[in-house]
Amino acid sequence: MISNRESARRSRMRKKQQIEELQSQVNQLQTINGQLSQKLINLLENNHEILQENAQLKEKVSTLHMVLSDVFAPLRNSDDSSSMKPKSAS
Amino acid sequence: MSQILSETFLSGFMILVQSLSVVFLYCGTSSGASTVTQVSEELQALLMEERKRKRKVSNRESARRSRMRKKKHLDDLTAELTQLREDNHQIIMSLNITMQRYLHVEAENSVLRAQTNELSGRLESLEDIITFLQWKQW
Repeated sequence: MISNRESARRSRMRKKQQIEELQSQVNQLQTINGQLSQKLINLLENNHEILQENAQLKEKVSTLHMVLSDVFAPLRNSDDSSSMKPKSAS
Repeated sequence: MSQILSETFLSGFMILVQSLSVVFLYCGTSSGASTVTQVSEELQALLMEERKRKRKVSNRESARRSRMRKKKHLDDLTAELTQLREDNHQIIMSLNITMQRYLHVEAENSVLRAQTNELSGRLESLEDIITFLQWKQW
């Protein structure tokens, strides 16, 4: 049978370990959260850049469509002797 | 509160008795002198008791404050851990959503690049034909 003194000692030790474990988990999570936050910041920056790229590409496509339809515009209107039939630009 | 009161009485009583014991001393009877010493010694013992009692109370209070400090530390730590877990969860959710958006836009960009290439190709071909026709007209 364990003495009261020993029992109390073990109890105190267990409590001490519980607190140390808690502190360790807190420290760990703080580190992890810091790293994850940094990841998020980087990802948001990348997102911003790729959206700009996206806008640029959309404009390019739109311009090219316009230019291509402009090439055929005079052909649709004219009556002259050009034998080329207008193709659909889509 | 009653501690303070009893201490006040004891101190007051002490002063009174010490004054009286001086009077006895000057009266100078032999039995009177030993009685005064006895009373004085008893009073010293009482004072010691009182001091012991005060020390005990003070220690009790100190231990109580210590236990409360310890408990507070534990509670704070637990609360901090809960908060950190919540933060962690939020950050991960944000990461997932943002990543999804990124991949979506990236896919769209691929399509747009393919389109620009295709359209540019068409334009180049037409320009070649026009150039050829112009050359032919010459």
